[in-house]
Amino acid sequence: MSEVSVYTAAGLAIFVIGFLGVVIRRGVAEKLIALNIAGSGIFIFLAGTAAGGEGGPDPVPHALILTGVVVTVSVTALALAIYNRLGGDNREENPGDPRSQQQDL
Amino acid sequence: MEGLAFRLFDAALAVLLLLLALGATFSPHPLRSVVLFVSFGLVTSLAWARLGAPDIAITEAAVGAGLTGVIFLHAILLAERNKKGDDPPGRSRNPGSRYLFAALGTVAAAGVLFALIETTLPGPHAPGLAVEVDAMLDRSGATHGVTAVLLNFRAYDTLLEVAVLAAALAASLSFASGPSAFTYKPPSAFALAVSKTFLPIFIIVSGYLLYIGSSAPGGAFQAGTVLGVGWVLLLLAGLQYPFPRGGALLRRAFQASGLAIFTAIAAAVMVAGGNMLEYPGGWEYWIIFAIEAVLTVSIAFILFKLFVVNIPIAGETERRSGERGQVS
Repeated sequence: MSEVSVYTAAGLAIFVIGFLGVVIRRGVAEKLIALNIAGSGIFIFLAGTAAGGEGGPDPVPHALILTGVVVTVSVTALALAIYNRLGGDNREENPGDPRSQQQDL
Repeated sequence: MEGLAFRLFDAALAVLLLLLALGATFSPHPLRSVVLFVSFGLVTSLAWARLGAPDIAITEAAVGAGLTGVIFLHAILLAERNKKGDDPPGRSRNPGSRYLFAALGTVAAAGVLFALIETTLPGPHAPGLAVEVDAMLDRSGATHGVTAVLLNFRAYDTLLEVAVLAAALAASLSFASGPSAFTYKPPSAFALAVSKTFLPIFIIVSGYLLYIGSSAPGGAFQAGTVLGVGWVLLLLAGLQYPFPRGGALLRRAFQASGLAIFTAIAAAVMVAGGNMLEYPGGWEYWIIFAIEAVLTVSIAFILFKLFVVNIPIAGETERRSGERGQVS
């Protein structure tokens, strides 16, 4: 396998790991960590396909990935700020809240 | 870069990335998750270096691993400190969800296999745009491909990216209950000394990245993120949040300046008769440098404030006001 396909494969696998983590994990901070990892997986896949060209690595996907990293950081910060504002892990649960009955994923 | 040693290194790096990703997403202990997440970010920086993307490596190390990791650390530590004993389990315990998990896993694995086969099939490698970018490089105002793409060819995307940063900050500020001034207790004299030593290095490296960005890996985002993270380091080392109450307007001005100058230049070009962000001939280098210089400082201010907004203050759950607080 060339270096290109090693990283595209790894990127896809990391995305799957992160995606499953978003679905499975129950804490909000943990879900956000998994979301960040899924994003990184996509970026690695994109960079893997951009590498190995004749004129050097393609700079356009690199610019896209840079934008993606910065947007991910700001969205993560905003999400955590919203979660903290809503009370974080100390928010009051309703008696009929399905979360407190551990019903769902 | 195609030798066997490099291929083995790439394979080992990929395996390490997978293990770190698994650990970070599925570790039952939240603190371990965060630490593995930061490690994942740093190893990803190595992957960027191997893929010929030093610009991304710098940014990922600074904000992807560094700033995001610190914000998560605060979130996790606050949750642990205020834990009421009802711990949400790391994995769901409901048996019905196992089928859902199996179904999702199968779909995901099938998708991955399909994409893998598609991308590794022998055949002509898609050429990409590297050749076209190189051809237009001397008319772009920068001699480094990524900078030219970011600040000229795809400047609209970068403008919107800056708008996203500003919008995230505005949204965070609209409901944040953080205090106006606070101090961390210095973790130790050694940590304080290290932070003070590194601050000038952060400033110099940031200025250098800004200057060199037109001809080598670097630029506004690299410089801005390094500067912002250096500032956060200063705060964590126990130096007081430095701005007085009355300086809020000035801080907002700095935070808004990046988006403001970018939009102003886009509008000015349109008013002068050209298309949006179509820089007038001969001026590209200076326009790009002006945008990047203002953007660097603006990004540093925005990232610092995004961090501050997420700092848990002792007893914040009981009172929601802008009082002075002590954070340990």
